[in-house]
Amino acid sequence: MSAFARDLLEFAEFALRTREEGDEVARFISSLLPDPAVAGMCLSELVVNAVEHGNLEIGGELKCELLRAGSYERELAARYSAYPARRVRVSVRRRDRSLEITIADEGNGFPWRRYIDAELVASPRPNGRGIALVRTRFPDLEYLASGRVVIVRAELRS
Amino acid sequence: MIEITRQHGVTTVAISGRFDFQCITEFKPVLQTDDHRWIVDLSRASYVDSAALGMLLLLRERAGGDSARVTIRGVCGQPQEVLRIARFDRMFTIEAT
Repeated sequence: MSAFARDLLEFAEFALRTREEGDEVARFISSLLPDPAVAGMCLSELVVNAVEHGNLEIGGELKCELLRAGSYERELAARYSAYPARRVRVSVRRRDRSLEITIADEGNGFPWRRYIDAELVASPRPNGRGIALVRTRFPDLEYLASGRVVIVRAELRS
Repeated sequence: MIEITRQHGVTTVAISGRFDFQCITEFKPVLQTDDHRWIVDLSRASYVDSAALGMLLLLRERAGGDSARVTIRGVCGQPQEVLRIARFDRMFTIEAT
């Protein structure tokens, strides 16, 4: 997006279902931010969390077991079929020189407090470090509505 | 793309392009290989996400956990920054480009 078009942005909203769609949306939004490669990874992490842990109700322990067993993708496919109507909504609102990015899912909530400890980034487990990683880049990450909504505030790219 | 080669008792996994959750299927043969000495070549990887970090940690588990000898080589750009903030130097030998 050109700097000129970026300056015209006030509000945008995306509704998505899959982690691939979430990754694309995160990449698009991160193009508005400084350091888009790392910011995009962080935003993708939050959106993918909303898809998997929120809408598809895959808990952290189950995900770990499925990854170790090599059956994670099969379970994901089954859950997409089980929850076909659920969407994650990602909205972007400009506030002066910064963006407020809100990610909301339609699941039953997410125990985010379990995952914000900075030490988790260095855990040898194959999953569960995402939010701690995101906080290294977006320290004021805010969870609302029992973890169904997460808000990130970031400076716009100049 | 993921390429696996074996030479002198060391298995090398070379990853090019985006190393992310879409590589999970392609990475499975790596996790089914019994070996203890690994080199993961990221010199042609442009991007890693937390799923990629998870795959590397599964490889480490498979190779023996704390006793595993896994070197991540050729790290630069976004992968270097992500591995740094994930403190992977505590669990892997990291060699920058």
